[in-house]
Amino acid sequence: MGAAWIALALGLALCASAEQQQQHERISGSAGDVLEDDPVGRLKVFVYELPVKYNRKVLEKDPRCLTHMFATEIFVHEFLLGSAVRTLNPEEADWFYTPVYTTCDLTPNGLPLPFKSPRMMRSVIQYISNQWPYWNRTEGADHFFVVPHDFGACFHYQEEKAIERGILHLLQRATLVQTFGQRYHVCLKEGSIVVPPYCPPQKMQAHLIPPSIPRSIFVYFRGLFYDYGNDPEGGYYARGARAAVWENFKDNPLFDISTEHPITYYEDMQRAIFCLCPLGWAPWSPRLVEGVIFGCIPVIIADDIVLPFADAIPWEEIGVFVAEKDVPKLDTILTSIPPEVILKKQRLLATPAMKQAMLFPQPAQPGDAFHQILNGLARKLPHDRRIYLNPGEKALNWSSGPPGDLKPCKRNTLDRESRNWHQLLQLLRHWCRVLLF
Amino acid sequence: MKSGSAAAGGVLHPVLRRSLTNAASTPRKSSGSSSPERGGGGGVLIGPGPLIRLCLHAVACIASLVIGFRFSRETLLVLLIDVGIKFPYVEPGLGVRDGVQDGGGRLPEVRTKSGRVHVGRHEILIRPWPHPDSAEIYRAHALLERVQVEQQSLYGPKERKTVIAITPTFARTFQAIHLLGVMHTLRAAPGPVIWIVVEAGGRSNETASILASSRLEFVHLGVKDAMPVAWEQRRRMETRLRIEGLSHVRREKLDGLILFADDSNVHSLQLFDEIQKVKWIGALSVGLLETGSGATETASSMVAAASSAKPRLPVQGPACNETCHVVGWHVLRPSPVDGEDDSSSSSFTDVAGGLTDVATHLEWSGFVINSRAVWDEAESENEEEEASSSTMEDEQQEEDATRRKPEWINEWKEWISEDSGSPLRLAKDQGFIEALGNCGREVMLWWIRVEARADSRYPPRQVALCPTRGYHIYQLTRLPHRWSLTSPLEITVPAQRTPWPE
Repeated sequence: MGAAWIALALGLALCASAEQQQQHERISGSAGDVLEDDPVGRLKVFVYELPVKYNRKVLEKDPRCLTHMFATEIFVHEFLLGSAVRTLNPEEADWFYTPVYTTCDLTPNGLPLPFKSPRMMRSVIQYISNQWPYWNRTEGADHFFVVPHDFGACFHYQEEKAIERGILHLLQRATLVQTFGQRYHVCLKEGSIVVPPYCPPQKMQAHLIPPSIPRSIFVYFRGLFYDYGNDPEGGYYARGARAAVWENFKDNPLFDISTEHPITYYEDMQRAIFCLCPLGWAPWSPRLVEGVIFGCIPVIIADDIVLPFADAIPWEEIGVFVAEKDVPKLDTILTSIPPEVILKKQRLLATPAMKQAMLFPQPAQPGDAFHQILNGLARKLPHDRRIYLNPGEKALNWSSGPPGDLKPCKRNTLDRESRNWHQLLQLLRHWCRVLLF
Repeated sequence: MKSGSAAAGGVLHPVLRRSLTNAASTPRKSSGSSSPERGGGGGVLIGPGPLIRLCLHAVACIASLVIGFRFSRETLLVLLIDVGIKFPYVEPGLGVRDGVQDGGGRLPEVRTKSGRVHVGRHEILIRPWPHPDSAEIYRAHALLERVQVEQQSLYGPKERKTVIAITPTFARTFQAIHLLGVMHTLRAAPGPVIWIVVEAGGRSNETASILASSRLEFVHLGVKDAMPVAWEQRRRMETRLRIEGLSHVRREKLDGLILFADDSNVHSLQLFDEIQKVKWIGALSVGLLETGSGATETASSMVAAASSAKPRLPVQGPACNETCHVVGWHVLRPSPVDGEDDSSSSSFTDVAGGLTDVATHLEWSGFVINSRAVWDEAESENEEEEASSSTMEDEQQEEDATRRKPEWINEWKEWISEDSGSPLRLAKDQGFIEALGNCGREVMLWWIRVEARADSRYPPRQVALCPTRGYHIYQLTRLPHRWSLTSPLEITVPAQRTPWPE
């Protein structure tokens, strides 16, 4: 009798303590509890061997590509080369990966220029369709490409131009892994996998502070509100949302917002409850990743945005979504959130699975963003029978697209004739050496 | 290409640019408003472009006739823009991607499928009264507090021992600034706090009034002797005051952790979480903001430091080896040669004989002591015997370990043998001292001594009789009182160096 009472009391105590004292909660999104799934054994990926001009030469020309926020394409390549899901036999592969670095043509400032990217992509696709039969088999429906640029495969940094271009025609049937995600937008294809932008994990982990330091900042944001260089009159940049944040809350003591980037930026984020993640020229930003790593609840101000791994991570439960037209009421919205909801969100953010899923560590660790991409690809298997075309059947129009795209990849492409000349020259050189020495 | 170079230079629309270049190339009107201009188009008009130009030119001529001065086509264009004809703008983004021209002209606004989110210029929404609402600020602070309480319960120390803060002080000009600083720090510190304030010169009313407003549990002690003026003697007096505080702890058997919170020091709140880890004696790293050897020396040493490679904050505290055991001390001590302080590290072996040298220069504030270490051994043993008889056997061993003073702690008599004691002497073997703050790498406490100038004086309050004041009236260097002028100053000397005339 006494033992039963003691057991009941212990059980109640455990439940109560578990509810209140737990530091994190399990994350389960619409696809279920899939963040910790292991993709090995569920899919096979074949990595095409491309000439180095498409990947290594581009990287050698500008090594800054390894640290900027579009470095995803390079690290995914590295990961797949050494991963257990890679297969060297293309006949048994479920997915085909083309390692082409289209976002590595940088200005002196470090911003990528997308003007050569469509031609580079076309040239790559022409190459793989000539060398291997797998592209023509499905016209790319079982191929995936990593296009982390501003507007994905629309290959332009300006939204109007990107919309006008649309997704590159040749990639219409392929799966795209991109950072851009906005519902009902031309540049987001059905079935794309949205990934977070690349943030260097070591840099962020070097700035961690003990979690007992009290969070004393209510809302934190550092970044531009007006882009005077490109949008002098305002209203264009960020659809006026960032400017609205500044104008409405610059005098509000609860909002620690400014354009000055301090040295203690990461430490300050860990002392804040809410971190604003408004859109800029594109709706996504690395602030989301930083907010998740540092436990700061992201306040997402971007209409219709699609966040990374949206089927695996329940973003509505983790972040706060504010419509752009509600920005003037942001303080009312944030202060009227009940404290239990805030604590629950912080518990979800503290889950190690959540933090891992946003990072691209080298070497790859289980549960990180690389594995989430593979999980996403695995969830799309098995392929529908209809993607396999009959021989001779064509689904893509190779000559569609703006005329600028149809020009061959200048200076980099060695078509057959020049390749022959090149070989001849090398042969001559070799014989000269042999004869002279 | 012309348009390319123009785009790289400025933000000017192609149409406007073209019209301006055309205007520049065509022969200008030579005189007045009445002479007709030879248009660039020539005689026969073909196409709408030249037709529009001719119309503009005609309108300009007529307007010039009417107004009386030359009215050019460019001005008309400017007026038209003002009126509101939508002239397309150069797309943003060209300034960023240096020198790359991706075709001129603007694209029409493309509405995407949903129609809800579209590209283009949007209005910046500002609410009519963009000022903070006090009710919302109150709610936000309630949320902050709730989050911080949760953080403490999840990540902070589970049990908090009482913090016994011992503060030596004396009534002086800047006393209120310093003492209020410590007061607010202790009020913000989590967990129970007992504040022992030991005052040189006896208990004064100023200190008592500050303590009364503190809403903390405090003990106000007084020592009859006044605080001396010279630096070395001041240090010794402070030590004496601290020992007085420790005797109080010993007498009253206060249980907790003793923190030496000097009144002009700056403490961070992280310190209070860190000291909960102390078992018996802990050592902290103290940043020395001012060496205390005088203002001029500090300035010169700081200048010297600034001119050298990197000005570094001198830090005094434990030096650890790889296994986080204390093996020595980083000490700042005055070099005998020129009076300037130099920082040096000393290990136990270095100053085996000269332990006094190191010990006197270590700040008390860098040490945290479990109050049981200063209790009377005999009495605490009696207590334990009483306690042990009523508890179960396996719990008794745990309690003994935490309660009984370990053998490596000196007795009170041995420790406080002379006036200038040092916390180092509390331990027979200094290897047992625990290093706090990530092995002394984090500085959570800053030591500074800032006082008003020795000759600063202020008129006394008009109070009838204060017989319990411990200082002598003729030592005018210690007249703090209140910062208010109730009576006019005794001596008024005209300012001689003001830049403006009287």
